[in-house]
Amino acid sequence: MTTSIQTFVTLSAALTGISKNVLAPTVTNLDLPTTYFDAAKQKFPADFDLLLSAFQALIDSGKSAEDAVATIMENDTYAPVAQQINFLWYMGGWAVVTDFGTQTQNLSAITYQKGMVWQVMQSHPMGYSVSRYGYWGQEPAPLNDYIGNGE
Amino acid sequence: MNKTRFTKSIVLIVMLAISLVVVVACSTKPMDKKEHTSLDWKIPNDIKTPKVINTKTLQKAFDEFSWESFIALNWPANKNGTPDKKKIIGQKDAKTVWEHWLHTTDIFLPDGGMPVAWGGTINTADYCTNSPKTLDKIKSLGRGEKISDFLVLATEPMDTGPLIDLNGQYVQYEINLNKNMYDYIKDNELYNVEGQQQFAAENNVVNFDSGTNATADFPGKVGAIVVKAAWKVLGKNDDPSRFHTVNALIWSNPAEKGDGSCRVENVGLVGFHIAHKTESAPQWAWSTFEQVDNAPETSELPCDDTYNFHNCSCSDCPVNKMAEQPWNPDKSGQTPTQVTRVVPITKETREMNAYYQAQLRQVNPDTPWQYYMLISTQWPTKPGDPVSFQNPDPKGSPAPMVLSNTTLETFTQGVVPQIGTSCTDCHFSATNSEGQWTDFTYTLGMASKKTKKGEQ
Repeated sequence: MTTSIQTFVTLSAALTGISKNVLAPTVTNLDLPTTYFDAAKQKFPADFDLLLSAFQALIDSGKSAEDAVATIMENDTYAPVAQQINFLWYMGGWAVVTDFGTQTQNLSAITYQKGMVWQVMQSHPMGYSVSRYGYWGQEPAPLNDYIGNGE
Repeated sequence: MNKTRFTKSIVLIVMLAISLVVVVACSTKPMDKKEHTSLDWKIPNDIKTPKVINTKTLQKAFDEFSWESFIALNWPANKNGTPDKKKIIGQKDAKTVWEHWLHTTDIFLPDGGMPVAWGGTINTADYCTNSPKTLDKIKSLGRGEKISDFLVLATEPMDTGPLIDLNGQYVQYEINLNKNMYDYIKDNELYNVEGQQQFAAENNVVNFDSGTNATADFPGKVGAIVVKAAWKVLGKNDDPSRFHTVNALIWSNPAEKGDGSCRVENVGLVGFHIAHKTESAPQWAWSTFEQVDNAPETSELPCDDTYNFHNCSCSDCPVNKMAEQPWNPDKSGQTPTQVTRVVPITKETREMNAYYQAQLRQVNPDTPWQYYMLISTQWPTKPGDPVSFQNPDPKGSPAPMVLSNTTLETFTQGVVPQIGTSCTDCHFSATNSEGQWTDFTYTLGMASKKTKKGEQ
């Protein structure tokens, strides 16, 4: 993982509240950090790099990732990009404001399936489930099993 | 010429002749098994855990596991089905280990009765409507103690439709189980509906054995294995030397609009699945192999080679489309299926294929086994308990996300799981005839209700 992607993952974990190990596991069937990093870079060619640099500078100054994110969210340039990155992790696509409200422009069918919103709901997307027959009659696993314990 | 010179000449000629014989003998001498460390008759129990654990190293470990399994399962067998340790795969095309395993038709009998004893076979006369005289003739074509292989499925195992080769012939399929799996089914009477109901009523959950590597205190064991094989009838323009071949008895299955008759054909292996439940893969490790001439990758079009299931001169043939219904394996003048591989084989897997193919060529430059290739191995990146409702990811996030064999999942190839083929995603939904969990195998759904004959 490159330094930039590591910064992106630290930023993403602080934005989403989901463990870095869940967002970027060592063993995985889909390299979502790279997919989302590349997509964000393409969508925000100038501001994305600035956001990462600003976030890293705050970390280097001794701030925690959470405090660094709080500062970022007060900045009019960085906050919209950070919000989109947060939305990307949760929904697997970009937030698009239309006359009918905010809609999701998914990167792909797979990123739709991989949206963290389903993990937080302890559920699954429509049309794709990892659970076996009869799961709806059972208690789901604890939330931390889905999103990690903040590590 | 004086006598001395004559004698010297004779000695020289004899020495040259002896040298020639030695050279020829050495070049044709079977390679010592020790020279092929990667060619072994032992079915691997599980993967060799890599020193550094990441997605790439684990994929490599599972792919090596696949190749080692392929070699061991296709090892020449003794008459009792055990690997012939005196031989090496490739020396001569011979009946293999897995071909001695029982077919699902040997285990899930139409009358729900006790499966055929291990090492035995069903009485094909119960199936084939041909006259007994004809069958006697067929028996004479059998190899060894067992009659020809018995192929009963002409539509793909998933019932997605027939695959038709360039000669207009339906590809034929079989599903075989290893002894470990057979014993579990037999011991728990899962071979009929009533037995499955009883098993569930006693709060049992199907849980096949897992392959486990040896430790200081444990000798190691092979887990439950299912093999699915796809065979094409060899005919015009086919080169039998590029296939593992058998004489097969093909049953024209009435359930597939066939007339119940049997015929003998020389068939070549074109597709091969190995599913093995192991400790590191409780969601099973799914390996799939193909004969190298099956079909081009979509990105390789237009093409000008010769394939089993692709006509390069037909650029407007619909690709990966099913034959029009009604499907009938006995119908003449079938339209061939124009097949391409949708998901390319990775560079790493190609390199591994080249390595094993070279090893096989070293044993025998003419071996048909050099013409097989691994497509990939699907394995769980999160190998937790697949049964527990308390596991947030019981499918184990399989990698790669999709995996297809052009002869076994021809029409369901794709890049999105559950739309395109994913072994784990599909088999995770497997249940028995009563809708109960069957541990990733659909075979238990083949069980029939016990009839009076089956109770005997």
